[in-house]
Amino acid sequence: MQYRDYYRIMGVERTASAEEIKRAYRKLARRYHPDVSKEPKAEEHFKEIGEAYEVLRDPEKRAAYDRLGSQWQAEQEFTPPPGWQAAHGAGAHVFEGEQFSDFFESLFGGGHRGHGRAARGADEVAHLTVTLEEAFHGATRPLRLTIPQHDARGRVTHEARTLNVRIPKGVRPGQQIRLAGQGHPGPAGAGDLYLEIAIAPHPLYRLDGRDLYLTAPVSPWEAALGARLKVPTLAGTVELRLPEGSQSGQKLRLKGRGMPGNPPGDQYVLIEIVNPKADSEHARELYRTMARDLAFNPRAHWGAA
Amino acid sequence: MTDVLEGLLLDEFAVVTRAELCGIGRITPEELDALTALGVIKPRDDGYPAVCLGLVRRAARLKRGLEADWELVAVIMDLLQEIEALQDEVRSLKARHPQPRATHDTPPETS
Repeated sequence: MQYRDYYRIMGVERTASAEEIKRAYRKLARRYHPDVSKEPKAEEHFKEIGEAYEVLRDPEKRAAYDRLGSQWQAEQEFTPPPGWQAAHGAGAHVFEGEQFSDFFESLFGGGHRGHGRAARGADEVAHLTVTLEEAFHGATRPLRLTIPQHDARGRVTHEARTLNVRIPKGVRPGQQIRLAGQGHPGPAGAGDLYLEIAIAPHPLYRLDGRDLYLTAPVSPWEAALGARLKVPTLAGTVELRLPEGSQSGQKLRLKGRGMPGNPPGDQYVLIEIVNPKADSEHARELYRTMARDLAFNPRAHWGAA
Repeated sequence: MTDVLEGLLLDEFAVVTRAELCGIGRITPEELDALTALGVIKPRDDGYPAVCLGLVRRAARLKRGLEADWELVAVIMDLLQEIEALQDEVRSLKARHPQPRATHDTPPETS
């Protein structure tokens, strides 16, 4: 495992006072707290900071850490000195969902956290991006996780495992799914795993709450004369009557064809008139004919500008 | 592994009890009362909407991570919710707006 330089992580001297450490932590916490931070990798940074603070704020843990000496370099391969007894500090300061590093666990042991209640393993959060189709129909998704385990001698090993998770029909972005007992192991049972759902952008549909928006390109004559359009929905193709005299920007509603739910959402079809290219003499002639015969001024409302 | 795990979707329809909310969310009943008094958590007659679980977890994370008191946590939670509402509105406006032509040429994703 790798040595962790907690002083460097906190950006303080080894001689820093408790007050300096607290100030440094607060400054870093404000910057990296995953609920308020826009920094990339905020979660990772915040875990690191939380772990460093956990050690440096506690005089016993800090003294134990200092006894390792200052000759270690960050990320240097580390083995605890012979005869090292894991010191279990009480009343730990826990960032919810936090699992400390192997380095921390080897020095201070694990599982001795949790605000006075019997120590359940830490909860974990995993981010899962599903397709719009999966969210619409529901799906079973394999989820690969790396779970630390404590072997018979208390060492931490990592075990990769795959969970098959049911994605409920109609799940929305930002929603969470709680998988009881699938978090980190602990003396009083494993913590929970929370899946935070994101929905990948779709090439055709845009999602707004439970409603879906689809842009339908139509030709000028379809818009002018009316047409029957074959429109894709997530449940299959439907036929939609485009009324005559339709204009770009108008939207037609397919009731109940949005995301499932109670009530289900609607699908809106946004009309966008696309003009054919005037890329041949014949096409240009057709446009000229319209210009001549239709006497159409789309900017009439500007007045005599 | 062939078992399929069926989780609890933390939405506004599923209901959890007070004891579940405290136990699973790892907060004390007193802390839950504090959050309820501040309006962060809104109980219903039949318990708590499961979405509250995400809220108490976030509140606890903020309190511990920022060493803040519950009043400050409530302010942060309000602001975060406001940001999320604005983001929803942006998403909604983008969804309703016709997309630029170029995207029509994008081949559809295999489903």
